[in-house]
Amino acid sequence: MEEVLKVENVRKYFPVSVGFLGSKKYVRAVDDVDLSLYKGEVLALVGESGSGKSTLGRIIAGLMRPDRGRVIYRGYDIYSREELSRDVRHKIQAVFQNPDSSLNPRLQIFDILGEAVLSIKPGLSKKEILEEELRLLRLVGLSPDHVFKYPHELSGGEKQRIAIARAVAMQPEILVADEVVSALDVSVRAQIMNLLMELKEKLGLSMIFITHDMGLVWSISDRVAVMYLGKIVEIGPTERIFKNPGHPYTKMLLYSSPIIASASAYKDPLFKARGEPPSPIDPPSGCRFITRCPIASTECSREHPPLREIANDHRVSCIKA
Amino acid sequence: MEKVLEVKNLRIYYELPQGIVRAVDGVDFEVYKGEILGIAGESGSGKSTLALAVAGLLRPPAKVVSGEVLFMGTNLLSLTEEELRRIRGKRISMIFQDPSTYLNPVYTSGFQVAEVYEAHRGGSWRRYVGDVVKLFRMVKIADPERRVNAYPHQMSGGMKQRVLISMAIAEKPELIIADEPTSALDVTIQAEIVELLNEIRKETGSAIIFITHDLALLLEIADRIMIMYAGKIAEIGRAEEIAKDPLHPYTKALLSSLQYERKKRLQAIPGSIPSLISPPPGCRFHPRCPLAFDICSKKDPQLYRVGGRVVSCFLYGGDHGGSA
Ligand SMILES: Nc1ncnc2c1ncn2[C@@H]1O[C@H](COP(=O)(O)OP(=O)(O)OP(=O)(O)O)[C@@H](O)[C@H]1O
Ligand SMILES: Nc1ncnc2c1ncn2[C@@H]1O[C@H](COP(=O)(O)OP(=O)(O)OP(=O)(O)O)[C@@H](O)[C@H]1O
Ligand SMILES: [Mg+2]
Ligand SMILES: [Mg+2]
Repeated sequence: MEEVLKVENVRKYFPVSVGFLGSKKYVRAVDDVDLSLYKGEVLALVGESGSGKSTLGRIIAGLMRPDRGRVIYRGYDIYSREELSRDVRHKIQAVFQNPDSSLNPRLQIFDILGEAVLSIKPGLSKKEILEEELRLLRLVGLSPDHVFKYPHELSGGEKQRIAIARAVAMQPEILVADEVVSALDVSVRAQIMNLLMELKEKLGLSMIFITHDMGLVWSISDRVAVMYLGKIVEIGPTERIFKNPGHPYTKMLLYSSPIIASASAYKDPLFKARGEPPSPIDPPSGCRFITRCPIASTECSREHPPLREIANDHRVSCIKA
Repeated sequence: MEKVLEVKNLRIYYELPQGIVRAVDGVDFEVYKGEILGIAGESGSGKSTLALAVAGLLRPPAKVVSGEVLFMGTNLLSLTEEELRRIRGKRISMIFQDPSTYLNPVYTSGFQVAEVYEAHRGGSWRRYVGDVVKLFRMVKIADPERRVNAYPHQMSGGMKQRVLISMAIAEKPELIIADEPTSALDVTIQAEIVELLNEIRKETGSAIIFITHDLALLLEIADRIMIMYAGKIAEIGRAEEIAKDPLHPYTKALLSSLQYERKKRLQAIPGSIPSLISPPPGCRFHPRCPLAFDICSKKDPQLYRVGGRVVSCFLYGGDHGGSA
């Protein structure tokens, strides 16, 4: 398998001032994460709210410099030398949950897409830009008459299609999709998911798909990475994770997910959800999941276990797996 | 079975400069003692408007255009604000999506819950601290003696929702209306809260109206489900029946869009949700309906009974001749 992206030992801590006397603490949003993305695959990134998925997504998309570690796209460190990174950065694009905050309300779709088109093909004439934009609109299933509208004249699903069109205009090889359908209505959600899958195939994209919806994970992803408090606690092929999850948090997540699907996820009542996630500022010492884990024992308080291969391509950070 | 609530021909419109939003447009349903009635429907279908009407919390520009909301036989729409206040929080209570908006950041959680007792029973809130600890224990807040002294910002989202639930159940109401109570929470915390609500209804016998856009979740927890589309009821039935044999084409489409199969395209519903200012004539779903025929664009379907179910679709009743 061809590796298109490699995340090496990436860390992002956000400073928070706690208490008085300026005692400085950190939210360990992403805590020494390694990851590979292969050509043409969909890697789903799931996990508790605040576990660092969006932060990791932004780092991968070139939008936030990590404190340390590297993001390597086809051999290039995207955060290294400026002149080089500008050429490769557009190859990784991101689409987010809320199109309202990513589309400038004062610009017409023509200008929103035009900016992206021009950054790839500078010097195009107005007519050529329009042609390119109409091609993009067709690609995302929108009628050409949207081109002179403003974002507020579009529905949520239509706005999300524009955000996708803009990302695709940059001719990316990798797309980071962060909760792209979470804000959409159920009936529109499937349309956008299908569009993403179609584009992925047509354009040969590799995707990082961040979501809370295990049903979507089941239907579209090749592999799943599960995050908990800044750490990847499990990663492996989707079918394997759904049928033989290794980490107790993954089991809890599957047990809690209402999926009416042929997905027939693993359901063991031992892993019924319990407890509250601890603060990311002072994560428990030892295994980060220890406070909610139904099978934790004293050894678990020693250290957060490293990811360990338990089957082909399936790694889990739990000493009991 | 004893009816706790009966809503009849309810219409609630928002009168805006741009036009009239027909948010709830002729809705009839019942809630029985001790049951969980799930209400599912897309954004803007009128779920929250309906919930606010039942809780007596509608504010302008909302206007009740017709109908009755009978709570234990009394029409809530004819009560004065004072009379409503005596029912609200005591016999009918509400839980909302975002607990932070309903908790005051400057008071402890315990004080805010004790206030509910104070409001309905009088005396100083201090008298009720012991009761609040009991309530916190009931909603499974760990370490309740300490947590009554905690401020909202010291609590996680799930914990705050538990505090609000404890407030809602303090007076053992006959009806709890939960409007998207878990939508802002994580999947695992959502599962915990849902289980808690289920236990509470068993213990207290309260009926619960559980509103969400997540049909998969409702299929797991609700006894009966009401599907709304664009201000109207599409279908009401027992959860198992809806899951096994949905009648309304919209319910069918919703269910198939939740049928996730490995690496297959999802079943999408074409088009988008109509504007409630100028909804399509006839059945509001007809422009997106694969089974629509002539009459669907001309006449409004009524609620037709099919076995134990109610469905608003001409496939199941009505005069197909089209004589108006
Ligand atoms: N710019 C920021 N400044 C300070 N803290 C931040 C910032 N961005 C994120 N965080 C914190 O970092 C942690 C990880 O946040 P992140 O948004 O990556 O989580 P997430 O997994 O995407 O969560 P969700 O599922 O809720 O979207 C959280 O505790 C969050 O509060
Ligand atoms: N205060 C208001 N003023 C004007 N229009 C309103 C108001 N509240 C709701 N509406 C409109 O009434 C309709 C129904 O809204 P409502 O909030 O009841 O829907 P909902 O089903 O709860 O949606 P959601 O799933 O997004 O919460 C929508 O078209 C909405 O725009
Ligand atoms: Mg996020
Ligand atoms: Mg609502």
